[in-house]
Amino acid sequence: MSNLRLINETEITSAVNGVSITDVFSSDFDIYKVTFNDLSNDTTSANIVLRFINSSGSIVTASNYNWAFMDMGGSITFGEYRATNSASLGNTDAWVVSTAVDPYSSSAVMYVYNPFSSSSYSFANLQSSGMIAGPQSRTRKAIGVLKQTASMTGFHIYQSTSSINITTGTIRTYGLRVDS
Amino acid sequence: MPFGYTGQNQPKQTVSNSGVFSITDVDELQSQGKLGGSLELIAEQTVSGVSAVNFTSIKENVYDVHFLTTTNFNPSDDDRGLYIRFYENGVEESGNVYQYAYQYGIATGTFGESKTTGLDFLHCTFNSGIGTNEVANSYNYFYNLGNNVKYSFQTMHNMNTNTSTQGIFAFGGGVLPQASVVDQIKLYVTSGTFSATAKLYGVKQI
Repeated sequence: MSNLRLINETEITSAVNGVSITDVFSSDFDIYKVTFNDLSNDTTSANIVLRFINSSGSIVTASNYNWAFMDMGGSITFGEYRATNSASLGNTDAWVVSTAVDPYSSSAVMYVYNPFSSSSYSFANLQSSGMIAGPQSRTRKAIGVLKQTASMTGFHIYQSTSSINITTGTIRTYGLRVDS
Repeated sequence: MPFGYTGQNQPKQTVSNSGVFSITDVDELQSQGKLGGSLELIAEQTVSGVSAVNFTSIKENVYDVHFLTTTNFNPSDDDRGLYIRFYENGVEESGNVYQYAYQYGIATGTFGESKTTGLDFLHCTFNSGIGTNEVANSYNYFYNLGNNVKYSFQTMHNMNTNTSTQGIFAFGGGVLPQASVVDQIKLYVTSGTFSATAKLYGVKQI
């Protein structure tokens, strides 16, 4: 028995603007690992961002997110992106990854800390790698926080432009075992 | 929470039972991804005095996310890093086709970018020295290695000490931008030999 336990696997097989991963955060775990694999979309280049889902099942849209990341690529000057009082993790700048049309795609690993706790903010960090049209490689390292002392039970990822859809991808959520 | 399945208080356990699983129970839970752990050690290699080490059986047809750790990388030649190459259907890809971008920082205050759109390797670690306690450690994730219609991606985070025993971090990622099946992973140095321990895991999927 390892210390990593698969809680949810969600595969995107048809075009959708966003997908909700619900009922994955609970009192069973404090730290979660999320893998995003092979995310692509239906336009040249677009950005996937993230919001948490609270214990009422509502997507948190309040401007309580803070985030920052380093954007890197094989042919670009690296850039710093950040925001306070944002309505999501990432906005016109991607949180999860920049994505492009298949076969270009992006993948990432994200850790989420204390999302279920009602006395702590929900924190996350992420590292991704992908390729967008050009083709250009892209990788990033990101941190973020939802500054609400409220219990979160899931998360929602979506394209920041409503007319753009995510077309492929597999999202898996794991809990890191807690012994008590 | 107790260690192991006892039939009580287990996260996301959907099958009510007495704590003793039948073969049918095991099959059903395994098919749902709710049996056992979610990180499988595929192979572990501790080497010394070699110029390269290969993971030749990586279960690329089972996992679409792999996790690789390297610890105590120590080269015999000063100022060397550990590099990665992939094999496609058994053939080493040694062309200048890999792309990567890494941000690095040295404890003395120097930060910089390391990037390319065409070299013959990915970084597993950054350069380390041959002195006492001059070693490198890193973890890597690989994506889509076994998918013949997808590119193969890497993310990496490294911490090492350089030839002056100064701390260095590096993080970032790379890609082999070729739609192919990657079935081996090679770790190597460009001169001399090295010692290290490398562990390759599969991240479980249903």
